[in-house]
Amino acid sequence: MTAPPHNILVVDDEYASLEVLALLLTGAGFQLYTAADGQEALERLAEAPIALVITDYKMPRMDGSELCLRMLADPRFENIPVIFSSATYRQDVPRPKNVVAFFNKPLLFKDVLSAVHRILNSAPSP
Amino acid sequence: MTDDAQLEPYGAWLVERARTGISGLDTVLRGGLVRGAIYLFMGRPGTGKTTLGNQLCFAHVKQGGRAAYMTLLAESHAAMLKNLHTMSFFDASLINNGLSYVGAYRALRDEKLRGLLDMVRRVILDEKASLLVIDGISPARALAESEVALKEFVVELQMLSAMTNCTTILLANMTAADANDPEHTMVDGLIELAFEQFRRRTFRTIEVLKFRGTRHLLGRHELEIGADGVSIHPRLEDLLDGASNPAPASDDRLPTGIEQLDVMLRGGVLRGSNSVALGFSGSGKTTLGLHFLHSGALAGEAGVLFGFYESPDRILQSSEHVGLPLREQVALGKFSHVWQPSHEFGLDQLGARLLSEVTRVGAKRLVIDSLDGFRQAAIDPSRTIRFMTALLGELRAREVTTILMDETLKPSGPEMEMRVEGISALVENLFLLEYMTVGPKMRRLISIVKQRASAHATSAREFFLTARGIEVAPDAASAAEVVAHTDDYSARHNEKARSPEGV
Repeated sequence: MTAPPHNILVVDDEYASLEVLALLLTGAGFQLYTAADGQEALERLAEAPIALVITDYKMPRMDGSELCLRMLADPRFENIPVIFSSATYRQDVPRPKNVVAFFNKPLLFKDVLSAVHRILNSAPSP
Repeated sequence: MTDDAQLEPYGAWLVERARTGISGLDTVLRGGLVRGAIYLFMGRPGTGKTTLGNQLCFAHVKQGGRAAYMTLLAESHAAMLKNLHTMSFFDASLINNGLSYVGAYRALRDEKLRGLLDMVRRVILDEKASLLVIDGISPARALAESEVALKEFVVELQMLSAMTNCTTILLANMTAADANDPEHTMVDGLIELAFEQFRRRTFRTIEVLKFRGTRHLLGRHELEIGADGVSIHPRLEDLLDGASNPAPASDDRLPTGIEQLDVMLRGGVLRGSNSVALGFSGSGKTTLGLHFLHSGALAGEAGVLFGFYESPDRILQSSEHVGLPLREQVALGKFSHVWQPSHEFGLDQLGARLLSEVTRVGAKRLVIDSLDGFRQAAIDPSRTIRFMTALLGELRAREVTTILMDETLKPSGPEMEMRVEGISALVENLFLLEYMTVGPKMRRLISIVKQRASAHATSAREFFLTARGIEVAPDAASAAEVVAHTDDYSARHNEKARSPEGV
């Protein structure tokens, strides 16, 4: 019996980034959840056991930094690793401690996939 | 655990260009296509889209990339490959070995744009494609649930190309006049292939209407489909725009090889200068050019004759008849003759051929025989002067000393027209070769009409075509006699014409 796929939550207010990253990760065998901002992401986190969050930094209502801080403040989500992605994020700004990887946009899927596999400790598909 | 591989601020914004491998296209694009970007090549049927799309794929795989050619509702892959297999870029060994052909219409028809996008994803990832061509995008438009759905699809396709670093090319059967749809405004580059007609001649052209992130060459460039597939001939004046040094830097004079003409020129023409030799057919222009090239070859300077009329064999034969043998200079690499009928090539092809040969042989002397060959090759003859401005400027910048022959419609003055308006202003030197009948004899005169920034003989001289080439009289006395006789003849002729009887 094979293990169920990991659940990944992708958070991005930019339509195409969200849809295409979700499409690519689904194709790579993951179960995908999506949200358009930090507020919506917290709702998704409450609905399903998420193994990894990939979030944009700059978003309306609640940005990526605030989302990370809210997750750290909630015992249910504090241990979920986060990948940050941004086209404008300043590298010298301190990042919340649950952020384990950062990627500049535009993302390169092979780099993201490699990081996802490493973080989730699952072997890359052949 | 932290991934710091991409922590350089804005590092991912660096633009990586991939050469297309198509002659002239990288020049027009100033470096090739941007990796991971999406381009729309559009044009009516027959303009060369499918050939170009396939050629891009073959060239990409030959350069070490991987490519996929995806069709929607288009001709079958077998029929398409059958039509392409005679072209030199075609290599059957690459098919399914770096280059895949994929039909995606069923995915589109059954699952609409979402199905097509997923198919594209699978093809890019499964084939590890770094170039994807989607031929015939029109069915996607027709089967789109709505205008918004089509916009979403184009944006998603763009994002997919970027995230997978796979350059995507859409081929569409439409023209720029219809280019107001989402796929036109949202793609990274918009390139139109078209037919252009001038009088009864039809040419293929290519124009880059939009190309994000680079200053591409503007304007319509000639596109040719031949045995090597598509080749593009960038407009010379756009290509050389601002590149050429405007003035000759040297005071060095080059003898023409005609002793008394050099006396008239106070030593010869300035190195890097451009001259026009103006005269009727048979006036001796080509022989003057042979002198110039022969004299250069003997001095160790390579020269090129760029001609439209006499074949290489005929020229070599003529050079021997006038005592200016060039055959051995061919073997020594000091003389080269590029010959072509003017109707065979467009203006830009001629310019590229000329500059390429000048570069190849390291030419310091050039004779163009004649300007009319360029004029006839121009789709729009009014472009000839702009083209020649760029070409002569480039030759001057390369310190190539050029003599350009131009044929007049009459053998002698007083009104000697130039067929390309404005050409005299472009050149430093202007020679006039005339001939006229004096009694039973044909007499020839040469004058220096202009030698910019330099003193020169102001009187015409008589010259003779001999077994030793052109020989110019040592003074103006015999020329004065010819002119006097001709003036007398003209006066009598005009008087007769004015008489009431007309006799």
